Amino acid sequence: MPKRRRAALLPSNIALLQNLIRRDPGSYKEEFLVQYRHYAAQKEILGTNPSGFHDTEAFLEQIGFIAQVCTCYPNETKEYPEDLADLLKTHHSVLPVELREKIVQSLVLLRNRGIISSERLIQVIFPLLTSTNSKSFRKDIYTTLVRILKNANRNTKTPKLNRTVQTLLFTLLESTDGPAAAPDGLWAAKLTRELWRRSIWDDPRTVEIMKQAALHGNTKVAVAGVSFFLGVDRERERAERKKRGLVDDDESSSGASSDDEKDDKPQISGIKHRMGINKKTGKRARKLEAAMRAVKKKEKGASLPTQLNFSAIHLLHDPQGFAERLFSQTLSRSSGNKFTLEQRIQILNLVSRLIGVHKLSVLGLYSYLLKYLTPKQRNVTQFMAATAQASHDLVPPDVLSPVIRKIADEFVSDGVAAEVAAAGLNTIREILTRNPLAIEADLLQDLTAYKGSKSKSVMMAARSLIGLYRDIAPDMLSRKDRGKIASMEMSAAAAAGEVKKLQFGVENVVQGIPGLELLEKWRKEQGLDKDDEGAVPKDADDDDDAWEVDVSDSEESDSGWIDVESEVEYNVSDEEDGDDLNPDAAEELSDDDDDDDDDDSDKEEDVEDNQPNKRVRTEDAMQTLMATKILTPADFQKLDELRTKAGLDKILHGGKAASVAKHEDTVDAASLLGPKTGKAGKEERLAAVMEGRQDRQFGSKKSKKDSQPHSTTNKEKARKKNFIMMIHKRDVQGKNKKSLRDKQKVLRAHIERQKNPKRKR
Amino acid sequence: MGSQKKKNEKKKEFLKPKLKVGKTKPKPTSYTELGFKAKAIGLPEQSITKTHTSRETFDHYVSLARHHSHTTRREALTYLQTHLPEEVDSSLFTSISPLILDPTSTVRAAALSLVHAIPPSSFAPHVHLISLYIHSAMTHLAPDIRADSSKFLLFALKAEDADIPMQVVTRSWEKTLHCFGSLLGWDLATTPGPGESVPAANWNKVGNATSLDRITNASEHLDALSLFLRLGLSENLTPEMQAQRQVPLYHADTSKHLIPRNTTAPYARLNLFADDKGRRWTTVSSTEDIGARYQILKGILPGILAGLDSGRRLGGEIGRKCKHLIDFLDKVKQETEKLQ
Repeated sequence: MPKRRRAALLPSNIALLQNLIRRDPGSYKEEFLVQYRHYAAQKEILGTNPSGFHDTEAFLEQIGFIAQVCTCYPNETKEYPEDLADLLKTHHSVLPVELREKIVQSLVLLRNRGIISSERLIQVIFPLLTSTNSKSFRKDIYTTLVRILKNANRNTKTPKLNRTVQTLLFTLLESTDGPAAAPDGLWAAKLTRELWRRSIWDDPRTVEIMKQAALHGNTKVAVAGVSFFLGVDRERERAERKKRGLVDDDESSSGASSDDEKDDKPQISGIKHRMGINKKTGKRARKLEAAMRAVKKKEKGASLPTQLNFSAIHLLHDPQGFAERLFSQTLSRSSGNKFTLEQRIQILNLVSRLIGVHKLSVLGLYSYLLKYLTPKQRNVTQFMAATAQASHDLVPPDVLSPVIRKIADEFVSDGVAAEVAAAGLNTIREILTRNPLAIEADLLQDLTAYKGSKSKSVMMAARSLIGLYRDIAPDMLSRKDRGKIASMEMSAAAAAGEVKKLQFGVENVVQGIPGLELLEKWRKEQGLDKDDEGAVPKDADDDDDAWEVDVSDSEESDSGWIDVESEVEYNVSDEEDGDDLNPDAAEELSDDDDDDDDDDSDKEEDVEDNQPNKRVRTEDAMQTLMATKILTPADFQKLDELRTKAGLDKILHGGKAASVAKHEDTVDAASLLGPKTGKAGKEERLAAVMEGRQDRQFGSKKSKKDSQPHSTTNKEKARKKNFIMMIHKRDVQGKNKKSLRDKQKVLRAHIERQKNPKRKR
Repeated sequence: MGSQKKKNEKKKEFLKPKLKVGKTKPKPTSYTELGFKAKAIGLPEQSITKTHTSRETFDHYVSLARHHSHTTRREALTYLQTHLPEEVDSSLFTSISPLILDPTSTVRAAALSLVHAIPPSSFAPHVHLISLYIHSAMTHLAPDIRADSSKFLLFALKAEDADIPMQVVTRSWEKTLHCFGSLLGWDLATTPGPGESVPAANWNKVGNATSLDRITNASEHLDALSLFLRLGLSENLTPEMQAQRQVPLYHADTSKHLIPRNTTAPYARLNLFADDKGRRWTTVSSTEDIGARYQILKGILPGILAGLDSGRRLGGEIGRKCKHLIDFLDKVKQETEKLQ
């Protein structure tokens, strides 16, 4: 009889019915239709009076049920998704909250089952994002949207869906723009930012959306767009690092991927635990191995670089137009005072970053900045940083020189405080590193005269200015500032008749990779050039590794290499002995011996004495290396190291340090103030202390434990135990049988405790 | 002992204050300020013997019709029935129509008797709402609610005001038929191919547990169905109905300018309501004339006939009713085919 009873229960027991339908859709069709008809009738009642609908709970259950079994009866439920979409579209503002949520959930479920497409789902729920009044609902929709896009782009990018959503966002931004701009566009900005942060979207179209947002008429939207360009790349990097580190505290994402990650670790630990306890069988061992392999595979996958990450500013299309529009719309006088000072600084920061990175020419900006460059201006360091960022070598010097003149007049004079003067000098230095022609020799010499200032920060700033010009144009400095090396070089150049003068618009063209000859030399030293011989298998592995740069690895290898280096030296000198530890190197060397005598002698000289006057023929080295070898990231890292080493050597031996153009770098406003000197004030000290304390907790372990809600401890239980039950136990009886000495000890301890209750035993 | 200060204080209390001419008398320490400042003072009517207007009590009971306790609901309904005003407004209908789906049978019975008591003239505008709930009751999950649904439908079909049954028939013809299908356990959704036979209806599913109940339920459902079909398919209207449907002709050409009477949805070709296309269960189909109604019936007629046939074989009261209905349907079929 159980079957019949079950059947009698069916109409009301939806969970059971769902289970049965899953197993055998055909036989339970009648029951399903009963439910479906009921749902249809209820839905119509709901349609007449959505706010006063009284039977919400049952209706909720039914919606969920039908969504679950929809796949079993595709013909009968053809209209179901559209019905739900209609309900949501027409009544979303008056529907009960739970019902609304359930409908969205069911729609997502239908999408997961493949009944409706992601595009359709997004088309249904996206308009609600801006039209609903409920905050929680908006948040729900927002997270749903992010999750859909995340899941859709997990394995491979889905350009079609991405484009659909991006078009929606574009239209949202465009439709809300205008004289009465609404803040609805903020959602577009927010969504885009989130997706960019998670590296789900990383194409130029995304950047275009944010560009649109930055130029939006509404202040909030515009600021959101601007802050995206300024901060999002750092944010993304951080998120990426977190992901790589397999830290799974990904706060808002509740997608399946994080679930998977969570699953794995306990699984392994569980299997290991079972291995420890249960009988060890081959099957269990294999299981553990398989699990380990899976985890390793996953980790490897996680550490692989998934995409090239260009920064948003680099992906911009038409940066010149963007910068000009941004400047004219938001900063210039015609725009009115829509933005607060902080917002204007932010925008200014972006404009200057754009100018610096793309070497744009927005000439109005410099005269605009003039107004703000006075010591009394609030947040003046930010303006100064922006000025420095906005200068690059393609800005005409006659545009930039008034700025420098103004800074010099306002900041660097005898009447101002030392900090102000230091800030002014540092700013001027930052501008001049980017565009050395923007200053006249007279003014420069005036400024460098501050090298004798009593204030350390001013003195250092002036010296850094001198150091800069010693490298670039020593002739502009006064005679005694030039220094020994610079004046020697100058006189040498004068003697040779090749006096170099800075010129506007002349770029120093880089040929090949600078410092490549160093790498070539180093490789020869190490005996790593054996591409001709065919790779030894072990080395092939090494090559693979070389594509991934790992900092800690390279450090280790560095320390290792030094040892090898010395060995190589010995090997070269007594090659015939044959008891070397590095057969590869030996082979290599002998090969070279056979091939070319000149080369060999060259190398021996190089290796044996580290003299700077011995030169590797630069171009030859480049030719050989570039023709025969593909450089790996590891090679580039080594190259960097070698370059810095060589740079140091040059300075030590009187060479000229190459000044690298750094027009892409950001200027930190705080660094313009120069190094902090003198004692810190009380507030600063306190702040430092507080910062140190941030993650530490004080107080005893016990108090922390006790404050947590917990069950009764054994100690508490023992204390509360009935005395009669304990009286014959050794704990109690033993007290009588204690030796006199032990009794005395206990007594003493007790007295001590009484005297000083705070101290523990 | 006490301190000097306390002593002094005590002494002061018993000193007689000195009164002076031209000065106000000092207030005693126990004085309470009674004045106050206010911008406006409202004096609500306060009365222990407040008499509520009959309207207010009525509204109160209307709200009680949705009380969570079923006894309260039932009592509220009986009160409403005894105190029905001349003109009933829509609030009553919105609150009592969900009671067609009430889980308690006594409440449903009370609701039915209340509905009977309501004057038909005020009932007519709300037929659509009521019929929605009747449909919901016919397809309801709980068998006893399903069983009672026909009582409400019969009431609507037998109403004195001829407009009420016509509204039910014309506005929800197709849907009601399908609801009957689910109510009587007939499979109307699938049309059998030629040569296939429709599976016999499961009469066990009708209504409640006991067999006697089942019979009465089924016979009631059949009554409702036959009345519904007769209303929908036969032209012989009551004189009142005819009078209502007659449009006075002021001019010989008036009829030319009227919307054509004998077709359903004459402007359907304009596709003004494209939204409703292809929805079977969810929309009110407009089936104003017999021809259109028959067209709809034709699609599901085999299912209905098969169901009736299996009912006829049961014999007894149900068998008799089924037979009458089959005869009627046959007659209608012949007539319409003769016309075409």
